[in-house]
Amino acid sequence: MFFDKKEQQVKEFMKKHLEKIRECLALFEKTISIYLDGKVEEASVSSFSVHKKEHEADEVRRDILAQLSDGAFLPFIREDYIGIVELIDKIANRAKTVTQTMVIEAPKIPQEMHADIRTLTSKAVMTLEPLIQLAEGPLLDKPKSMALIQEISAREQAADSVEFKLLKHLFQEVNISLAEKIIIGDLIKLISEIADAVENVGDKIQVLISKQAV
Amino acid sequence: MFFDKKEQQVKELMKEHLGKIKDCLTLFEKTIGLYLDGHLEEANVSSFNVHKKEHEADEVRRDILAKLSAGAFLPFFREDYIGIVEMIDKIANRAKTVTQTMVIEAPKIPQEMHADIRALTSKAVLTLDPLVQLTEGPLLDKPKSMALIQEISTREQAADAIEFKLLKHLFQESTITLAEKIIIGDLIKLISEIADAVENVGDRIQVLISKQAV
Amino acid sequence: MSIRRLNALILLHPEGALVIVLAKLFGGLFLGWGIGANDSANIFGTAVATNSVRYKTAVILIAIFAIIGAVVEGPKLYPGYRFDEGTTITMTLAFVCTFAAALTVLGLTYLGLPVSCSQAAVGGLMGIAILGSGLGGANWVKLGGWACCWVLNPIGAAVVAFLVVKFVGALLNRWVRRIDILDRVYKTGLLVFGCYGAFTLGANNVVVSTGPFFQAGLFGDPARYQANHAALIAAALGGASIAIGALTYSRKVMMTVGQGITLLDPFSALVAVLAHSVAMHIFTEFHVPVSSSQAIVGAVAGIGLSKGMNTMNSKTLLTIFSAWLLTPFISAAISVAIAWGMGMGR
Repeated sequence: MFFDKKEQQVKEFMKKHLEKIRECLALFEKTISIYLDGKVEEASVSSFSVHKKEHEADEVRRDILAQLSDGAFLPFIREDYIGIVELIDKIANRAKTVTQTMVIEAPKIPQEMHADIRTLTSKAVMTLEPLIQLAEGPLLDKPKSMALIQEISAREQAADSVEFKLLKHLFQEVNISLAEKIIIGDLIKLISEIADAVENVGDKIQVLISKQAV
Repeated sequence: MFFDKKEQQVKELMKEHLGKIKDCLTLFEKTIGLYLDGHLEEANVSSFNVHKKEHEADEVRRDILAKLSAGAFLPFFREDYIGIVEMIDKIANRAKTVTQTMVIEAPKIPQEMHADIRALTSKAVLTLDPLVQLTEGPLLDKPKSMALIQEISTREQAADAIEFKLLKHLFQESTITLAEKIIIGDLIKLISEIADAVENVGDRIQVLISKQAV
Repeated sequence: MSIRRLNALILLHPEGALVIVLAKLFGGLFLGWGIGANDSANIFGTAVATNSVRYKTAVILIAIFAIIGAVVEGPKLYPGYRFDEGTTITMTLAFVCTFAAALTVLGLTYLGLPVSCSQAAVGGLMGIAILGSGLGGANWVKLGGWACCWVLNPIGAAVVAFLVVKFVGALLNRWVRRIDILDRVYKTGLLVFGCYGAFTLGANNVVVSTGPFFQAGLFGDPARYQANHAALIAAALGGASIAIGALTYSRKVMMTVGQGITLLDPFSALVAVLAHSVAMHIFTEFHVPVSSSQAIVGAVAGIGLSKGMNTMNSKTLLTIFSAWLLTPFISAAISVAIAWGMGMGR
């Protein structure tokens, strides 16, 4: 409609933002895979592209904030949109932190853990999918939205269980120094935190939905 | 004016609060300087001063919260003021954590990293300036505020860049044990987090500013 | 008019002492009380529920300004408050129609159904008009006109709210750039517009409480020169009943209505009250009592629309339709039934 131009723009920007995040996570998964393949140099380059994408997402985030501060939506709703945008942005931040930490600390990850780390990474990245559907579909369709938020949660738990398995193996069975275990363990936790970051967005969207039910 | 006495008091107290935070960060920078100079005893005393200042800030915070809950500002804005004050207080908490961790763990930091750690510390402390300006202009002209929030972000990124450089050097070139690297690396991350804490305040203020638009 | 004269008119009325007058007025005063109790929430509900204005402050302001509105603008509506031009409205009929409306309000409220006091009152009035002049003699055209106003009321409030958000909002965005000043603007605005809201509520709705009794000549012959004085006394009494309703029984509704629309920020809250009051004020000038609740629902919808949001769900629509159709109909039916029971049918 002609009188909600600002609101439509925000929604467009948010789609664009999420698209950047999706690209960022794809690069993130690729970087981890390259690193596990032993191509440390390439991983370093790839990690830089994650960083670049995160920066692009950040710029879209600023556009959204400017539009919101200009009066899109009612203030109570606006506040939630800001929260959501900030939280979405944090997903890319965390991806950047993981790849950066990985190429900086360059830990030697035991071969037998590679498969599970790939799984964890892919599971963490997959939490984003229902979030994108959530943002694309009408937020007002409550049951559908709730189901998608539930789906994010379920996927986050799937990632969690892989994380648990990995950490247990790492600390109880692997034969490396404790310092190395700490480094690798922290990395695993960081990867898993990406799923948490996505789940946080879902939770925040739930608040928005509950408010829109006038 | 007589009918906004409480609001004026909140603003005065917020200035006082930020003054304390500034003092705290100055003491924090001094403590790190002393530690790097090898004056461990003095650093210990200085670290205690950081703690004391953090406590003073905490008391001002409580005064502000009391004033707010006594009815300063409409509840619509009040919750943001509360959020902002809490986040400002966290800056001092983090500073305390850094100096405390440092004097407790007393890591031997390689000489060649000293200059960069000093630079990181000073960059992290410098993020506070635009925040002080942001709250001194009485929250505030919108474009000016947005520019200052952006400035905080820029300064935070400058701190980030040094953090990245330091960690890379630490993990890839330094010859100390991995455990020592972890301890020093965590300390570096903690220092850098002070800039993040300041940036978080900026983000929170963004929410308040956005509520200004109708 | 001096207080003494007012006293004299009430106490020395041929029908007897004040107590008797008040007893006869019961139905009407109950309606006034119901308006004060229910509709205060439309005016200060959001502000009170979000702790922006104290409950005590709110109800005292409502009481004062509802009485001022009733006395200053309210008397205009009294002469035209009837649907049968030819017959005489007796005290008993006035009692019947207000009592029927009061019963309707109580009953629908008990059943948890939304209800508009003013529309119940008008239904009751229509009932006695049919009773007095027959189905053919009642002024259906006038009733139709009023019903149109009831439809236009929320729509008008929505349009006003929409325009205020768009234009005043833009100006406010340009001029007020500091939170502390904005905070003060909002605080002042909530109080000022709240007072205006109470004023228009008193002005527009007071007639439904004591209007039939005015027509019955309780306060003086409505057809004669003292009509103005009579309407003034009637409006003062009705205004007082609205004030008492606000002071004694508005807290609960205020909290629930206010929390139901917590979507509203201070700016939207004051726009909603302003748009509500403008609509009420306009219909006061047309001498038609309209529903305060429907005006506020319309205003909120207008605000939502200006931000691309739909605040109207099936429940709010049901609210409006049941108040439009059900309330006056039931009230008219009860009114006729009671009169018939008392042996007044034709």
